[in-house]
Amino acid sequence: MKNTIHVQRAIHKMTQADLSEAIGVSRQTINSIEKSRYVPSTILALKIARTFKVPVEELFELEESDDR
Amino acid sequence: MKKSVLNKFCEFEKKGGVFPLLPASFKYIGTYVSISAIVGLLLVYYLGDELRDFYKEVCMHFVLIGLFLLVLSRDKNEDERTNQLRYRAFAFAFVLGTGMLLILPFIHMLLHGFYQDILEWEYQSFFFIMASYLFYYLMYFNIFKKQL
Repeated sequence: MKNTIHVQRAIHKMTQADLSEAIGVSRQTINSIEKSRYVPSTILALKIARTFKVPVEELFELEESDDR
Repeated sequence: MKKSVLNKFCEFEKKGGVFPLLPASFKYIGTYVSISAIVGLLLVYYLGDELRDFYKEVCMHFVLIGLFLLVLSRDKNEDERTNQLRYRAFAFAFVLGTGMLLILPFIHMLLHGFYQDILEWEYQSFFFIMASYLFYYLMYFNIFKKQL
C-alpha cells in the first residue's frame, strides 16, 4: 500500500513530530507508515486524513501486490 | 447487562492494547530487580553449603520477576504500532522458544551421547524455560522496535 503522507506533510508544512503530536502516536510510527513498513489501523488512517482535511483514499492507495 | 472479564479484555484489545500494562517506571524497577538478583546469584557462592541452595533459588526467582516486570511495563511512546510489535514478539518468543527447547535435548544427546539421566538435565528446569521465553520476548521486541 502506497501513501502520500510525506507529500501532505510538505503541503501543510508539518514535521513528523508535529503530525505525531496531532494524532497522538510516536514519531517512529509516522516514520514507519511513511516508509510503508507499518500499515496503520482504520482509526489512525482516518485521524491522519482528518488532520490533513483530505479523504483517506487520497492518502492511501492500493498497489498491485496487495491484490494477491 | 454485566460484562464478563473476557468481554472487558476484548474491549481493551479493540482499543489497540495487548492487555493493561504497568506504568513505564516499572521498566526501571524490573531492570533494578533483575540486575540485583543476578549480582545476588554471583555472591551466593560465597555463602555456606546449607544456605547456598536456598538463596540461589530465591535469586533465580527474582531474576524471573524482574524480567516479567520488564515484559509487562509500558513503553514511553506506547501506541498501536508498539502493540502490534508486542503481539509479534510474543508469537516469535513462543514459537522460537518452544522450538529451541524441543531441539536442545537432541543437541545434548549428540554432544554427550545417550544417557539415562537425559530427562534430568538443567535445560528442563523451570528457571531455564521461563527465562528463555521472557528473554526471547524482550530481545525480539527491541529488535522489532529498531527495525520496523
